[in-house]
This record gives sequence, C-alpha cells and structure tokens, in this order.
Amino acid sequence: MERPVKIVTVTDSQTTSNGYVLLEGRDAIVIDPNLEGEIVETLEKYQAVPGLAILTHEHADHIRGLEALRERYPQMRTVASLLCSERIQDIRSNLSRIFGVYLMFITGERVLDYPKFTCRAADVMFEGRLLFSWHGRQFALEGIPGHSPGSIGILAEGIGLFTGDSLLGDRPVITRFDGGSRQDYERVAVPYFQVLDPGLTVYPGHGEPFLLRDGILRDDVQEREAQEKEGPGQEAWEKEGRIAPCTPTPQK
Amino acid sequence: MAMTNLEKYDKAFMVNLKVKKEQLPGLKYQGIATWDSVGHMDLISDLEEAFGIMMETVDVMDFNTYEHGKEVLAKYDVEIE
Repeated sequence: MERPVKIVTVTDSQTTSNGYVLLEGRDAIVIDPNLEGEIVETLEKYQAVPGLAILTHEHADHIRGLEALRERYPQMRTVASLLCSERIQDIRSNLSRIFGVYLMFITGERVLDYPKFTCRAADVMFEGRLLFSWHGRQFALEGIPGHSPGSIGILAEGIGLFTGDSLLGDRPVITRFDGGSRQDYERVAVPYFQVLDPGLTVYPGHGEPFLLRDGILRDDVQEREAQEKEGPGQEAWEKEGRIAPCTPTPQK
Repeated sequence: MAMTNLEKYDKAFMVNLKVKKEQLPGLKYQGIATWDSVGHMDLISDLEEAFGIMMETVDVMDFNTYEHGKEVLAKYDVEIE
C-alpha cells in the first residue's frame, strides 16, 4: 500500500491564508509559501528540503514567504502558471499594493505595516496544463482563471485538490480583484471542478479542508446579488456609514 | 512640469474607478459600479502612494464622495485646490 503523504497546513493568522507543506521522507513540496518562518520550522522538524514551491495564484497573502524561501533553499524550483509568474512581479497585480487596506475590510483594523513587494519570475512556467510525477504520484496542474488570471488547480493523486482561492468551503470566490473575471470563472473554473470526483478532499487557500461536493461554486457578485434580493445585509452596513466587506469575517 | 495635488487626486479617481473628469463632481461610494469595496481599496492605496500618507481606518471608511475626500485628505495636510 502506498505510504500516505504527510500534509502540514501553515495558516497566516493575519490574512487567514493557508500554505501547505507536503512531506514524503525528506523531500517536500510547498504549496503557497505564505509564511517563511513557519514553513522553515516545519521543514526542519521533519528534516526535509523542498524541491518545489507551487503557487496556486499570484496574490500577496499566498506568496509573501516565497523569496525568503528561495534564498534559504536555492535548489527549490518555483512552479506557476505563466500569468501567475508575470503577476507576482508587480505590486498591483499581486495585490500587495492594496493589502494593508484590504485587511482592514476583513479584520476591521488597519494593518499599517503590510509590505508592498514583488517576487522574481517562476522557474517553471506553463500555460494550460502541467503534469509531473512526484514519488510515484501524478500531479496535474491546470489553469483556472477567474479569481485571478494566474490561478491554477493542483490535483495531487492520492492526496486531493489544492484550489487556492478558486474554491472555498465557507465563502464565495472573489472575482473582482485586479484581473479577476466572473466570466472566466464560470467558463473555465466551474466546469473544471464539476468534472472531478465530488468526494475529493479540497485543501483551500483559506479555511478548513472540505469535500469537493461541499465547495461554494459561485462568486462574490452572485452572492451579493442574492443577498440584495434576500435582505438588508448591504443596507445595514450603509446605514452605519461603513463599507460592506467583500468577504465574510475570517475564521478564528 | 510636476502635477498639482488636484491633478493627482483626479487622476487617482479616473484611473482606479475608470471615470472621466466630467464625472468626478458628485461622485460617491457605490454610486457607480466601479466604486465598490474593491475599487475603494485601489483608490485609497493610490492616494496614499501619491501623497505619501497612511490613512487611519476611520478615514478610509469616511472617504465616501469625491468632494468629502478632499476634506479627509486635509487632515493629513494634503490640500486639494
């Protein structure tokens, strides 16, 4: 029987983003290097070295630790879609320019020290689909734009599906950030999820793992339209003179 | 020639909210599709960058019209005339 891959989740308490460390013996893959310190701690605990870092998409909360990890592990190769690779090199496209303000919307407090940063291009870039094998398991990376142009899904054989922010279990997907597209989400991402095994375990970019069948396959615009039909959620914020957040309150 | 504060202010609105100069007077938060919460983040970030300031939470929330935004910026010694 195949030995299970150990999966360690690293959650950034400030942004609620999840990074994942997949461990197979002393080899590791880092998916979304959000926090360098905790990822390194995990790798050292298991005496592992990362061969790959894979980016589910280009947003700051998922790549903040990338450059520090690259310096620490120069043999590590970074894998991303071509568009993701391009967009991590720009503070507007990677959202680090607005993240300090964005966090105010989801936490209610202004984060004054969120850095505006860029990353170097990925070492391995692809368009469409990329297949590779890791310790006998097939990994299929596929472009699923919508949340962002560079978003991908990572289907890891015998492990599950890593969706970044393109499919979450507790909130709709945001398609209104720079470069996001509701049309792309509906045209590419939704059909991608719909043909996969609904019993797959999904490891999302925020929140707890869930089964694919329980993922929320709609975007924030649809959600807002539904809320406007249903009740006064948006109005209540307006009456208070506040701006409605674009995502629900993050998990504690 | 260096841009005036008013030109910088107007440019931030026009670029981030995709509006023309003649649409600026009377513009208000959620008065147009592009000035939603995401557009607001872009706008505030650009204004902070343009004027070298960091706005407090209450002021980011209070910045709700083209005209009132000038008063908010005045608190940071940014005069828009």
